[in-house]
This record gives sequence, C-alpha cells and structure tokens, in this order.
Amino acid sequence: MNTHHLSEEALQQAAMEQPEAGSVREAHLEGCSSCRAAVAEYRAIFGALKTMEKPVFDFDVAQLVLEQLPQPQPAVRRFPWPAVLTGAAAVMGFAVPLLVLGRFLSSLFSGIPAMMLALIGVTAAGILLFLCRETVLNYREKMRLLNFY
Amino acid sequence: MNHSVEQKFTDQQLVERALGGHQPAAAQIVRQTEGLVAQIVFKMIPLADDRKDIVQDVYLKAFRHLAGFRFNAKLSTWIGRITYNTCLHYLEKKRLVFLPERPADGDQEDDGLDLLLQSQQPLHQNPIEQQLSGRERTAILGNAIRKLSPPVYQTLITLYHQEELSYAEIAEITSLPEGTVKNYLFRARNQLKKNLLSIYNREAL
Repeated sequence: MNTHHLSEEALQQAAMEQPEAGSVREAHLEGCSSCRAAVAEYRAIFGALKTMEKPVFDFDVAQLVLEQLPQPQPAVRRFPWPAVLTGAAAVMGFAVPLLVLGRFLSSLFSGIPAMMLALIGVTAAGILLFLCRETVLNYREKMRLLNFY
Repeated sequence: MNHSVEQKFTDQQLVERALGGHQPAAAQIVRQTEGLVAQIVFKMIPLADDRKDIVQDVYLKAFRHLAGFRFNAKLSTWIGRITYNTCLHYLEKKRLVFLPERPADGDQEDDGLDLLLQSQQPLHQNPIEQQLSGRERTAILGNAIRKLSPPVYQTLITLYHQEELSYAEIAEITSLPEGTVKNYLFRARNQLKKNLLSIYNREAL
C-alpha cells in the first residue's frame, strides 16, 4: 500500500495541467487511487467553476456611462489667476515684514561680512526653493491619486 | 445599437478612437470589459443598490484617465484594477469589511443544500461533476464560494477560474505580488474543496 501521497499543491497542479507522460507525478497517480480521486474532485470543481453562470448587471452599462461622458471640447487657455494670486500673496508675505523690520534686520546683520551674508542668503533661498518644489510635487501626486481612486 | 457588428479593434485603436470622441469605440470598451467589472463588483460589494453607482464611477474614472493609459497592460486589466481599487475605496469609505455576499433570498443557501440533499450518494461514490448541473451547480458553487474567507479569496478564485486571467494579470488588478496571488489561490482552492466536501458529507449523514 502506498503511504506517501501527493501534496495538495501537486494535486491542484495535476488537475489544472495536461498530464505529462513519464513524470513522477503521473507515475504516482497511475498507482494511487486515492490521489487520482482527489485530482478528479479538483478537476470537477474547476470544470464547474468554468461553466458557472457569470453575474450580469441588470442595466445597460454602456448607455449609463456614455450619457455621463463629456463631449470633447477644444481646449480653452485661461489666465492662471490662482497661480498669480498665490505668487502675489507669497511676495507680500516676504515684502511686508521686510519693510517693517528692515532697520532691525540691518542692525542685526551689520557685523557680518557681505560674502558670508550672500552665502547664507543663497543657501536659505536654495533650501526654500527645494522645499517648495517638494510640496508642489507631493500635492500634485496626492491630487492625482484622489481623483483616480 | 447593434452589438453583433462591432469590429474587432486592438486596445490601442479603441483607446485612440474613444479619445477622439468616437462614442461607438467608448461603448465597445465598456462592453468588452463589463464582464470582468461585474465579477469584481459582485464579489466585493455586498449591497446591490450601490453597484450601479460604483460601475458608473469606475468607467468615468477610466475614461477621464484614458489619455494616461500607457498600454503596459491589457486595457481590461487596467479597468479591472480601477474597479478593484474603487470597490476597496468604497468599502473603506463606508467602513465596511470585505464580506461575503449574502444571497438575495434568505432561503437560497438552504435551497442549495436541499438540492444537494436530494442526490443519493456521497462525493467519494459519485463525482461532483455528475451531481452538479446548470442552476444547481451555480447555486451550490456560489454558496461554497461565498463561504471562502478571507473574502479576497472569492475574487481571486473568480478571476482565475471563471475569467481565466493569468496570475500576473490578477496581481496587476489586485496590486498583490504574484507569489501571494499563487499562494492565496492555492489556499482558496483547498478551502473551496473542503466547503463542497462538507456539504456532501452532511448529505451523506
């Protein structure tokens, strides 16, 4: 009596694949009625699944969707007011404090060489630009995902 | 509209025509993919009333983003992925768990068992295939599939064995690694067989 049987995975494979003549699996199946029965059960299930009735919507999907689709229209180039206003607000956000606190700032940096000040300014501006770019890219990606899903 | 005279276009031709505002091409995309969309939606969305809104949402998203489709996968797989994600998003929003679909008629499950109990012999004496036919088979298998847990198994089994998608395509739709899809499918088949056998064993008692 054969005490070693095919694994569940091998049984499933045997049920899904064409028999390979001369393979160890086929040789085992030839001599083992228990595994042959298990393969037959899987084959029956897979066959039944394939011919099982498929679900269908009880409405005309194409008609439902096509009614909602916008008609293609020529692209209209609009003036980018939101971007301009945001830019203006950002400039004001820097300019106003600079005007108000200008004399305090000049006394604050009076002892520092011009070269050093320029270096600090360029570095700070670079970091700021980099952070702005990252924020915009993150925002765009999140909006894309929100619109998509 | 006559569906039978629809020409056979490639995905690329269909997409280009649909993007150009050609409505029959858009309709053909819907008809070619609605079977797959139905399989996913019916398996994942328990409330029948919500399915219409979800299907509409799926296709509107697909058409809104059609210009961004890069043909890295089949168009049907891409729409399948949108469907899967839309269903997941819906379940998250409604704070619902991805639960098995309940039969519309409360007695349907018992009916399925009754149908089985009508046959005379247990599984080991009488192959499943001989006992299951037509509507009975759909009812019995449907009940056995609904019992699969976790519920993602139901979708995987359907996509692989009914829609005959490859492991790679299922991985693309569900965003699961291909190895995980294989593993889940192995467990799902095993569980499905046990579910069916338990029904037949009850019958044999």
